Amino acid sequence: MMWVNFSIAVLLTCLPIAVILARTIDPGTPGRTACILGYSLLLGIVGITALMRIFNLLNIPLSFWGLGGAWAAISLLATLIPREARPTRDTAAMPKLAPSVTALPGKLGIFITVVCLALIALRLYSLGLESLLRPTFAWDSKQHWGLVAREIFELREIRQYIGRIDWLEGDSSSYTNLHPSYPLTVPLTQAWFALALGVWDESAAGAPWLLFYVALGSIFYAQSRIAGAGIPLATVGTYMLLSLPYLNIQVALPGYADLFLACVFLGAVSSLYNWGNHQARWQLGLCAACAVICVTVKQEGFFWLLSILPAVLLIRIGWRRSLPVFAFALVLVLLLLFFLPPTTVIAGQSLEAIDLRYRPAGWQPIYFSLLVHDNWHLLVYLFLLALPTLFVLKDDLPLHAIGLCLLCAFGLYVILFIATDRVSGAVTYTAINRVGLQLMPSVAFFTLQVFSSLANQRGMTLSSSNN
Amino acid sequence: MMRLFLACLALTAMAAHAREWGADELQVEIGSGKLGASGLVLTPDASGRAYVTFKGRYIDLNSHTEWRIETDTERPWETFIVWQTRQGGDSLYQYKIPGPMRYNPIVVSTQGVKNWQGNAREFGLGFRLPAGNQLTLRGVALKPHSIVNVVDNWVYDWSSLKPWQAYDINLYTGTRRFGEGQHPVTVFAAASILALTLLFLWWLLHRPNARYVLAGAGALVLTAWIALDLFWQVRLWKQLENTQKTLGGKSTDERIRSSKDGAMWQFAESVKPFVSPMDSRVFVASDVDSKGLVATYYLTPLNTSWNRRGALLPDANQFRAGDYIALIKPTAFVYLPEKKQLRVAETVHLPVEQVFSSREGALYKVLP
Repeated sequence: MMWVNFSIAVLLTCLPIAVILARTIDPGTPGRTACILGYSLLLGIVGITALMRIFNLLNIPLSFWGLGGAWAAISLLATLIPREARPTRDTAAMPKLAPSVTALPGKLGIFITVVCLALIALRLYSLGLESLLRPTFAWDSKQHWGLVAREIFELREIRQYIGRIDWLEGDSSSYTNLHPSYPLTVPLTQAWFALALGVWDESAAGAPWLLFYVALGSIFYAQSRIAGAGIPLATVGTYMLLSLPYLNIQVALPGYADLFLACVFLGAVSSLYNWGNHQARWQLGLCAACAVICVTVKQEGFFWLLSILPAVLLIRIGWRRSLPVFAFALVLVLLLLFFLPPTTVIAGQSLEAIDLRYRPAGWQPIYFSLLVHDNWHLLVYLFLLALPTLFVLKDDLPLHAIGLCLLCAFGLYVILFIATDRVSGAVTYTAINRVGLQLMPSVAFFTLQVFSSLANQRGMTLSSSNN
Repeated sequence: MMRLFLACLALTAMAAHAREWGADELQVEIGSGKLGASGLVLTPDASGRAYVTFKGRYIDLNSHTEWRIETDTERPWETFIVWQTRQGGDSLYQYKIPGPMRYNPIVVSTQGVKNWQGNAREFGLGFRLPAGNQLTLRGVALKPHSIVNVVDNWVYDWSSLKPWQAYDINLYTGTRRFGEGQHPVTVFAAASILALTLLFLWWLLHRPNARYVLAGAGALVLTAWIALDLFWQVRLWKQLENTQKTLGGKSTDERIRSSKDGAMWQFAESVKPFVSPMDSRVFVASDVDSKGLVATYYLTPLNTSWNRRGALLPDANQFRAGDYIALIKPTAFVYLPEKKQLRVAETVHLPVEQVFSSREGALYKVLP
């Protein structure tokens, strides 16, 4: 019965966004089903958590049927969107897809696709079983994410979370924990599925992470297909992404918010790339939605949101006109860092607390984490190979844009671990891979697009086609 | 090409021979031993020590660096290797194994170990075991340093069972232990770079259509990726098998009870009914972070406060009558039952009433 409820909850969660996307995305779009599945899961989960906040504001106790009913009503409203409002004309830009040729030579392509699908299925099965058998395991889940989720579920309301000092002085209506300023989206997600089950089940508490995993794979596959990759190439890329050991660990031992953020950032970066290619408005909408959601998942999300902005600018006005803007923005950021009072809080951290200065101890863990340990298999090597390849692909502005976005994000990642107090998270290997995970799916998408574009340029037949 | 590779492997393996000692060739020097069908059953002395010696023809230590000790145990507390060389007079050396490369058999590399050089014919193995334990030695072998052995050990290191530990949520090195062994990524990356370089050279020499080179490069990378991933896949399956063995077929409560959180969960479940009203403030304190963490988690939805860094409990004047304090053992705070006080600092006593107590900890209610 529990799993029937869970399945209903998953379907309900996806429904409104799936309806909207189904009415928005052109039926002829490659990877359309996967695109609807991935984004409706992702945005549906965030949407339902927004609804939970609204219920709480209105002092309505959180319940599965109450929330589910309201969400179903929204789905019904979505079906009433008039046809005129559908921006189908955007998809007219689709012909910009790479000229169609078959993916890989017939049987070889099918063979590779089947092998990769089988490997993905095996991975999903083993990770799913591992995560569903084990009670909450991850430290941060017990310390924060799962703890808050349980409180919301048990109390059927969202209490105010405050710092320990305020909590000691206040009344007992507020709650406290070690990170009261952390966003509530992930705990609310867990609470929503617990509401669907009717009980807080320790083993089922990790189920949303399986959904994030599925959403991640679906978005990667769909956006790769839309970018022009054939089924075999998109499947190979998806398998490579879903096989990353550290990503697998986050699903097997669920409880950290980083996988969710990784999924949202991929959703933003990949849709930005395809918006740059095809100018489809729905892609821009997905990009904007995912970019904003980054901020609601984890505090680092603010920086990933910032890293997307130069990419948007680059796509809009090109290198020549955007370079002065970038230079001005860089000077402005440096001046702000210099002149802002130390008590200034950026993304939940004060400048004083992060104590900006050079810390060379961070370099070695960065090197080990990216290139020596097996967290990412060979992905970072391929990424490093892909970056200079961009110089060969001079005309592919959207690819340059997401490359710039990832370079900015990686720059911030390096600064975080060599110039702030977070160096301890690198030296002890406690935070460095978690932050890395937030970027890696987007890195994988970028890398695949670079080599795919290179192959297309050299006349390879890796693209989807209309031959 | 393949033949050449295999011939090289065979030559390397033949260059030096493995030396093996059966259980009947081992001489017990410390403790006592009894030769049985399964091997030499060693009983340590009263202090838990056992020592055996064995000898043979002189062996070149530089070319023999891999020990394989066939035992029936996962890991003795301590294992020592002792050897006597004939260089500069007879010198006796010992090496304490920091951690074997693998268990059952225990595999140890002495490559790079200080004084592991020259020739030796007499060897010894020392063990320290928990008192009362026995150890069965089935045999000992000293193997040559060969590619086959190295690769065999890598494969074992990369794919053998490594049950989930709390630290695993932070990183995956690919090896069984952090900081030890060869990292698989570096091996596969080096092999891929080499292969891609050869492909590039071939392209430079023969100038075929670029599409074939790109296709070849793609195939190489995919093959390397899948091969590297297979080790991880195998390890994941072994971990799943292990999880199923320990947690499969149980209800959620039984799973928690049989996990390492079981005692804290039980404590929290017992404590909850004593907290009234439900929104009372509950302070959780323990000298062990993980215990405080788990207790706080399972005390949900009580209005708890657990401080990981800094003072475990606030100043006495910040408590209010009706607050609760859950003290998880071990803890430095002392309850004085005759005075109904909790000593929260050297000279600070808080009036409390003990409302629950168990082996794991106790719950106190702050009195006016």
